Amino acid sequence: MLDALISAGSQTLQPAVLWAVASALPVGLLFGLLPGLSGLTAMAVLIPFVYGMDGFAGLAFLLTAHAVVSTGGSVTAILLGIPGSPANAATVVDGVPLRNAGQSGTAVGAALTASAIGGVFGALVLLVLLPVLRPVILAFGPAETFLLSLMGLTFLAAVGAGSPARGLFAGAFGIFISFVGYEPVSGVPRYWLDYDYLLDGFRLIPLALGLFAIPELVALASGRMLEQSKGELPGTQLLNGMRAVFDRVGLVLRSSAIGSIIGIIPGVGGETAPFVAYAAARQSSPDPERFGTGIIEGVIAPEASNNAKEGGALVPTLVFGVPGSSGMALLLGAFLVLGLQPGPNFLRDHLDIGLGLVLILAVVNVLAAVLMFALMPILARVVSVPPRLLVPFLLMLALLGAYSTQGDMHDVVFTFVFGAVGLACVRYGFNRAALLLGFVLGPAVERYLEISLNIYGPGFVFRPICLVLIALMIAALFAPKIGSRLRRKRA
Amino acid sequence: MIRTDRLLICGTILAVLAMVVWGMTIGGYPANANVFPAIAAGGVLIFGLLALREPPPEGGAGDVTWSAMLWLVAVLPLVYLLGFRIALPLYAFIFAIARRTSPLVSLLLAVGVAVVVEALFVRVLGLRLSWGWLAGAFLR
Amino acid sequence: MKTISALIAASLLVGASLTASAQENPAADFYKGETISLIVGTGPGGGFDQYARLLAPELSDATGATVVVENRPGGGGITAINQVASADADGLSVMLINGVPAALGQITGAPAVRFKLQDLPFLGRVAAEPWVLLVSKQSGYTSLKDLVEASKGGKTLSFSGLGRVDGPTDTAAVVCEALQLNCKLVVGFKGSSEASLAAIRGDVTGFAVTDRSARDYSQDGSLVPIAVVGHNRSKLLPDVPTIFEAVDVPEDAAFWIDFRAKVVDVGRALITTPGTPDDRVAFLREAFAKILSDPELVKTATDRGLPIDYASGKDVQDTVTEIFGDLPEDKISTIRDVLLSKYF
Repeated sequence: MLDALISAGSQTLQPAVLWAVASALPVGLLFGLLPGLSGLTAMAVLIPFVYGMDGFAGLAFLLTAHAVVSTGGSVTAILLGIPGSPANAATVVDGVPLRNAGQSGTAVGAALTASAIGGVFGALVLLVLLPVLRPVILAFGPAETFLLSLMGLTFLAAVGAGSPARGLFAGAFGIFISFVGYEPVSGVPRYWLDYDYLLDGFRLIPLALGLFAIPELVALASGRMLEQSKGELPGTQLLNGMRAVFDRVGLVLRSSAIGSIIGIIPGVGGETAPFVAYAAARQSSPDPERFGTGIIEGVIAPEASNNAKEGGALVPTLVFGVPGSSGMALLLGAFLVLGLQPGPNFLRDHLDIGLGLVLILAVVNVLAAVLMFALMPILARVVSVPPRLLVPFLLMLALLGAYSTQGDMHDVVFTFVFGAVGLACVRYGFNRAALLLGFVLGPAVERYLEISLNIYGPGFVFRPICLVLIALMIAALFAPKIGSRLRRKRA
Repeated sequence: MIRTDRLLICGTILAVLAMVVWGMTIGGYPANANVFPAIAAGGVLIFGLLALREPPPEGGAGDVTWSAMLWLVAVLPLVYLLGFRIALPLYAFIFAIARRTSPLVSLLLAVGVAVVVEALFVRVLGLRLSWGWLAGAFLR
Repeated sequence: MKTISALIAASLLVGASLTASAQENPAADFYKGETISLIVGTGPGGGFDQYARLLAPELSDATGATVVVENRPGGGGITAINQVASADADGLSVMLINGVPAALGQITGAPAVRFKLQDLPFLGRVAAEPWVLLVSKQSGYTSLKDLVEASKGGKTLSFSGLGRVDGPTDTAAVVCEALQLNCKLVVGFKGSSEASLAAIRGDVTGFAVTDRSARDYSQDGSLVPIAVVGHNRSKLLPDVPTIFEAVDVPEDAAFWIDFRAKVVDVGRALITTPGTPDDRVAFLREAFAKILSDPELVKTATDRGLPIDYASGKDVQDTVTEIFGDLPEDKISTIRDVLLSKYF
């Protein structure tokens, strides 16, 4: 292992690899900053470039671009209220109130620092787990995936502020619309109205863009100005944000762990990680009601988890050749292009490459945050651009971002359709984050429950890990109530 | 006075229930395909009814105007007519100039938008952007 | 039927006469300066996309047209075929289709299918991968014979799959039907890799994949390839017997294996819009024949993990005609029953 680590280190320091990282890093950050363009698109765009590259450099190139997207996206989420990538949607919930309070510098500083730590944490988890990965992944079958997704749903009420009934209403609506399109087991397309676009259901990118970007653009076009940082200099705010993260190490580590676990398990869907981390942070907080009103923990938790999940997602990709996310599926394709065969024997034959990827992951997460810190003085100016110039520019990015994922005009139209939904949500206090979380988790719950019942019958709930998950779920549901009652008694 | 949020909640509940009932009857979906939509619809119904009894929330975005919405939606027909590559710069120009931006700055904005569309989306991302119905007819 | 074979014959004649006088070819003149859309029914980055991006510059060289790869994901590739089938019949929309779900979707009457494969002009086949049945090490079985005996002994065999007619599931279904096995198909997995995990874990007895994936999944012995579902062995797994070598397949049951093998033979095929002028179809067929038998391209492709197994447009057309040509109504309903409901 040590030999492999040294060899991995020397491999990582090759000029070709450094060049690959240096060129992919800004690309990944840019794709993160621009709403609608996500890690998946970044990788798809970059894949043709790896044909000429040396094997390891090619992988480093793609992994870098993919891993830093959510770091860039956090800045857009806070400054403009538009998630740069779907994984940053949870950051908007508290990021925007913080911005409105003139604390955008603090929020960005905290988000970037949390991203870096989360990313390094994810890489470390990967490193520690490398030798025991197989049993870990095999332990999480359809039954366990189902219960994990269900656990995610119990957090619906806890993402964001406002009335719980309205939050759950939005969540249930999100779950319902996620069932449009092919049912996973019978293959019957549901509620598709003979409209081919709906066969695969609604798409995530138009939904996320519509819910978050359009209402923000409408508000800007209505003449609202973006609040600029008040009081302290932005530089001081950035440092304050950084300090806020180091003051909450427990929160950062817990959120990173949530990200890693969700990343490792292929079925749950990496997009859920930041929501779950957010909800967990809220439920374990002494004053949950302040979440959603602009609390720094609400930015730290999702940002730590969405960078940590990338490390987790690499796990099944390397060990089984099973991609943990759609971005990883593309990375898997790149392995083949480079003549490498991921799968059961990959780590035995290429341990140094596996470790090298871990190193890259850790390093680029830190580099990405540093680069963003350095760019902040320029990026922060975006909020002082008058809306009459900003709106058409952002609208272009949002529309072409939606269009570019599949090259389909329908996605652009549906961005507006969901934009109307988003506007209604903002106006009447329905929770957009809950809607999105329900949308992402609904299909996983349905799919894996049906598969579990098919394979094991209803008895699957008595599998050991399932029992543990059920216990955790019950604890998570009732702990906040008991906790607050205890606190009240003490007070 | 009928509250708009109540109308929205009732409309959503009715639409969702109608779809589920349709799937079970005329749609003829197999039983397992109806279970989860029915559960989700149940959630929509219960939490919707609870939300109906609540007082209206304070307008979180009260400063939103209808004209702003119309302005945004207007980009869509423009894109269908002229294609992204013409529509987006043109839209940017009109949007800016209609808000008392100087012609020069508006033009610069339009050029900036055009450059990003061409450089990032056409060159780098290799998107194939159609020219739209109207412009496409002339360019052929 | 007659009109189709007449069309094929006509296009062949035209094709033959064109090779003789390639200099003054109206189709060749037509394509110069035009833009051909090479459509794939998946998003960027996947296997089909990579094939298309490999072929695009070659097609451009061969035709003088600009060739643009277009990703139109949706409905497992069905949506894009619908669109190509109803596009302008100018021969400028060429699509690389996935033959298995297209053919089986049509036969089983999948809701979104609005094309008839036998009406589409086929331009050639890029690749066709045989399907292999694998069993889990955890199951304790090591050969197809074991499975047959276990089934006779009253055991139920289970196989994992994605949808019903996109490869793994239907392969298992026809094997179960042909050998009269006691089967249960567990579908709904998100991708073939997830279905493979279920087999590795021992949640199911086994599952079916293409020979290429079978080779990858079986490297460490956690999954064992037991039979190729077809008449010929796989080049990648030369030691794995065909289903006919592994067990005695009853004569009347061989239909199922033959049927599935023919569907596999359609493979990753190139189509264009029905009604495209014959000379253009012939021109494109010839272009693809040249491209796909170029040893240099075959080598580049194979190095990238994209094997080429060319068959001419006419051959694929014949295969499709065979699949759909002599299927009586009652046979179709039996096929639907086996693929869609019997083993679930």
